[in-house]
Amino acid sequence: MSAPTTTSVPAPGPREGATGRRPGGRAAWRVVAEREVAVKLRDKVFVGSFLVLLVLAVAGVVLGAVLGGRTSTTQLAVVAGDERVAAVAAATGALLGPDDELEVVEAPDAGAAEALVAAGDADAALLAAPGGDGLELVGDQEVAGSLSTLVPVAAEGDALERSAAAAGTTPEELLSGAAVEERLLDPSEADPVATTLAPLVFGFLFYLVAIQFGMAIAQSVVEEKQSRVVEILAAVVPLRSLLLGKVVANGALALAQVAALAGVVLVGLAATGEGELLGAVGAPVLWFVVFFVLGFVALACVWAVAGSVATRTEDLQGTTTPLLVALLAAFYAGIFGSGWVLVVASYVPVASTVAMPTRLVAGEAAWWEPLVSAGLVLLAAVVLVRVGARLYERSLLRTDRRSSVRELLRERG
Amino acid sequence: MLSARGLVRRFGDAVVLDGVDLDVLPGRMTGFVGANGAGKTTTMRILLGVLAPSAGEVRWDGRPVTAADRRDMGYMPEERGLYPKQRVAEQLVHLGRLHGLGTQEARASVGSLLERLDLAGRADDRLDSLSLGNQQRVQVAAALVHGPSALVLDEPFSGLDPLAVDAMAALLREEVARGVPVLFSSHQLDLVERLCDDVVVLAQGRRVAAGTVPELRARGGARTRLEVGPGAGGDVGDLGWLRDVAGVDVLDVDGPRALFTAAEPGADQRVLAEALRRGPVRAFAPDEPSLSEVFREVVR
Repeated sequence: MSAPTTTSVPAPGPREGATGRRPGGRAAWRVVAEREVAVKLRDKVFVGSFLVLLVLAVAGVVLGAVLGGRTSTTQLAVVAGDERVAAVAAATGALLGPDDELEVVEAPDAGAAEALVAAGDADAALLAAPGGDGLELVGDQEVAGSLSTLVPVAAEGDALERSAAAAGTTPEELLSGAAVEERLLDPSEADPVATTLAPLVFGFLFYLVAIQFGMAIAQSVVEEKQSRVVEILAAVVPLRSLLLGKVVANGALALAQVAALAGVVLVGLAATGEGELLGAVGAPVLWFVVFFVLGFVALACVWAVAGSVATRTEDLQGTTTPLLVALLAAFYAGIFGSGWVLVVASYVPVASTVAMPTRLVAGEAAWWEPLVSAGLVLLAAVVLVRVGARLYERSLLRTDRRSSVRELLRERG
Repeated sequence: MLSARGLVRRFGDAVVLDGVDLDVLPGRMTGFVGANGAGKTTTMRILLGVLAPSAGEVRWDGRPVTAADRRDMGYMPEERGLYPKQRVAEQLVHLGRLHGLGTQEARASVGSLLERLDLAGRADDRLDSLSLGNQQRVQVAAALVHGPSALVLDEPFSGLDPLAVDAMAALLREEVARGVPVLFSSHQLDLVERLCDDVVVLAQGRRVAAGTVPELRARGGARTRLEVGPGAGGDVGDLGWLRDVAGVDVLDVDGPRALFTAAEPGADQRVLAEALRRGPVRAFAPDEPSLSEVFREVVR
């Protein structure tokens, strides 16, 4: 090509040497991440669903406290003035659990007491047995389970006391040597409620949030591809910066959401006086957050690949299926797994996000186990991020058709 | 200066670019022409780093181009696209920041750019609520938002109405006046001829011609156009005799009109004398081929 004659031209544009960064300019991945977050925070569906989750978490804690603290009252009808019946009734009340209460309703005579039961105003009537020296527990169609168990015990105790007095001794003396104590060979500190609930809570939280933000990554990738803006972006910043920005933004949002939910639950437990439960789940919850972050990062680039091999948003249903299946498997293994299945799951990357904290709550895992398992997730994350980033770079600019992963792996950089 | 040396690009077994050299000089507008599939878009994508070359390299100011250099360039891809659901100003600010501007700087630049493009009133509208013409203007703004160090535009004039073509041309001239190297591809050769200082012609992945517009037009050699008028007897005249004049290559004869090249000095003057002897001459003039004619010639 011939050299033009006009050679003296001013230096182009306001620029800043070879750095490509001007004063005030930010690293490309941060600009990308900021946009992702800003777009999400303005998305009403996103904000709405987060608020719903938060409300559900608060409701769960409050409901748990209310249900746990509620006392149930049983009404027992007695004939006024029958001292023996009154004593047995009082003893029955003493035998009830801390959350149950016995209310003694006095009736003028046996007929009136039975009428109370028939009318549903009393759960049962305790009467002197007609034609005998025993007692009679009268129910309407059935006698409440706790009463039919506890009233005979109370009656026996009452009889024993009276017989002992008649024989000039005490019930304690008569029952000496009958005391039975319990001893556990392997006392577990685990709270049974926490052990049952933990896998469910961890499982759902991980499953919902991982899918929500994983999908968000895939969606954001395919949207840029579908709208073709990706070619401009690719010309401005390295694709890796684009990927990093998306992963960081969605990861941070996911973490913030999980932390907010976990925080609400922990603070809620403390506020409703479930301090004991808090002590049992505090450390596992923190581990859950650690595993969540690692597991999310491990899958983040795979989600990006699922987005980049699609050409339209509609394709995502197909391209994200393997991820959904993997998450579902991790979810089920954590929730329903027990014994060796749970142990294995607690070492399988991603599945360990649910399984390891679950084992920690149950007090089954030694102190070093979460460390080893976290190391495995970290390793998996490094591998998956590298492979994922490469596949993403290769498929992102193919806007003409869906790419197959095998084809992308074979292609040389 | 933005240049390419020996660019080769293969897709599987197909060779799309086969050793393309290219120079886009600062302060000059370079037109990039070629038939569909000649490799223009592939070349431009390689210049911007969207695509990697199989061989060859892209140079900026004489050294291998870096990602940082490219961050300062402006690009308008063939397949237009921005964020359809985002507000106009907002996404331009985002792109400006991706190009390395600070937020305030980007806002200021977007403000004045939208003003210049007559889009100031639409700054806070979603992109997809704009007409196609206005979306195209936003696309141009996206390439200019950071005051690019070089501009590479793939078919910037396609789909524009005549007024929009003029506006786009004016914008590009401003950038050229700023000293920026500008490369654009187009099938509208009259436009390229009118706007460009330099032209590069691509055919089947090879550069088949390059140079300034006058240089390219002169490639056809010194052609002369001759037209004779109706004679005294009212006969329109026929230049068929031209074929018998020695030292003349006849390119085209169409009744009273002809196009020829003088293969030896003075041959054209002999033709003129002979024509005048036979009757009135209406036109005798040097004739340069248009760019389209040169284009047809070189890509054949």
